[in-house]
Amino acid sequence: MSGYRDPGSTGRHLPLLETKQASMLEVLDTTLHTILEIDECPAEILATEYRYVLGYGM
Amino acid sequence: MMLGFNTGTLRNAHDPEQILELYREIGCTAVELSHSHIAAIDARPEGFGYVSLHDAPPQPYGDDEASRALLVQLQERVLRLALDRVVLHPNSVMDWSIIKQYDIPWGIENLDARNERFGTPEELVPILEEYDLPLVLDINHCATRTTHRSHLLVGFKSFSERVSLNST
Repeated sequence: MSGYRDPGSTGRHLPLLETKQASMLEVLDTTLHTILEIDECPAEILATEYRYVLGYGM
Repeated sequence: MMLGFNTGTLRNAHDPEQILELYREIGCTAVELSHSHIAAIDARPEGFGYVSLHDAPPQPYGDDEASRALLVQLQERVLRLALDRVVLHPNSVMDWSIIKQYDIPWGIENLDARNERFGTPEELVPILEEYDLPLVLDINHCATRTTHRSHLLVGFKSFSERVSLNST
């Protein structure tokens, strides 16, 4: 994964795991459906991100 | 928690069926169909408890023939694919009363810092209330606002009865 970049300066959707913005998960309502928006990336990153966020929500 | 990705997220993948199969393997229980893939999908993808579409009209929906043709087509697609939600950016709407005339389960998303409007509760919530539309809370879009980030999240969350979907 590439290094952290503030999404405010790039407009990008980076994996939460990569941006270290885990605090964003605090506002996640785990009773709702959630789509993880990330800029195009390989399957391995998607799988890692999925497990990371799911682990938070369980 | 139902969790998943947009079909446009996977790098170097163009076949929606292959993308959906990989998402199933990851364990996704929700999926958002990309506007660029929708024409190639004939039926609701199996194995997902929640299926949405991220709509991206070529021009903002207004009171004109081109918009009405697109909305009729979209309404038919919602029925055929049994879509749970159609996510739309508020700057893709010129006339809110027009989009309300169709049987489409809209979800309106707050925008990021690159947009002049619709990034704050003050700008978006009055419209959602007036037209009885749910919010899709895009947490990452809130995070792009480098100032008042917490205010935005708290503000949007205070209208949580209108939040239909998280997006990160």
